[in-house]
Amino acid sequence: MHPPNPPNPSNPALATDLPAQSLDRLVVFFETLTETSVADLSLIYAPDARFKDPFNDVKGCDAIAAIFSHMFVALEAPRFVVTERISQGRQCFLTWEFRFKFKNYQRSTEQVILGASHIVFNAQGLVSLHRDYWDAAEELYEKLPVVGSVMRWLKRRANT
Amino acid sequence: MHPPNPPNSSNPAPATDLPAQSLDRLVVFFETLTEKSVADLPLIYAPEARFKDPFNDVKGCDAIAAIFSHMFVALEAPRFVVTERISQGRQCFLTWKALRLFPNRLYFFLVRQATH
Repeated sequence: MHPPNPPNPSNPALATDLPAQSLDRLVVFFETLTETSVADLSLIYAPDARFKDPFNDVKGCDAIAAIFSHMFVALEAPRFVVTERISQGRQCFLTWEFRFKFKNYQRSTEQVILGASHIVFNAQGLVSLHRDYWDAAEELYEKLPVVGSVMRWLKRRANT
Repeated sequence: MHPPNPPNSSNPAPATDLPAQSLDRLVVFFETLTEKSVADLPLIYAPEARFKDPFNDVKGCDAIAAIFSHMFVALEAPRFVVTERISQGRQCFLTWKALRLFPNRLYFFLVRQATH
């Protein structure tokens, strides 16, 4: 197979180009995610894929799918909008907005959390690592009434 | 100028390749950062550069340098180790560990429109 762009010779880990459709279908999967389409996760993730975020660290498609399924139970109308994609070889970073409403608090206000995912694809173009980075303090806790005031106080302290 | 790799045609924004040394010197700047070398920040950051992390959201080299300087006051022997660098066009992501600061934890940051 001849990759369309010459590989980056300085880093052998990044040297193999990713089939273009692997990243595209991952982005489409997230941007169109529904309670039903979570079941398609195993078409995109490797059987032994690892997922890590501030609240979870799991391995395997079933465990990862359970996290996304739970999102639809816990939150009202959750959805992702991918704002940037930066890829090199088989690794990529996506920045995204996660938009949702709380079920029992400010139910009419759409909340937005900004985050980024570090994605590593395997040689077959399936996701082998999905690691989310986001600032849980600012992006989530500060949106909550009691925890929020504690987090804002902690942040002020850290800055003095 | 002919960039060594053809630009990614699917994303027009980062189509201009970044000079290789820009990313290298940023990584070296962070991995060797000392109380003194913080002063070199304007050689690497644009005058209007924005910096945002969980505790700060500032603009300009002086404000950014003040954050790094404060790190040396507030913490004992802080040190960054860059673990991954993924770049496309003029954007890049670095994953890093802050040793002594938060052992075993990885954070990331995004450099938008790095200076040339």
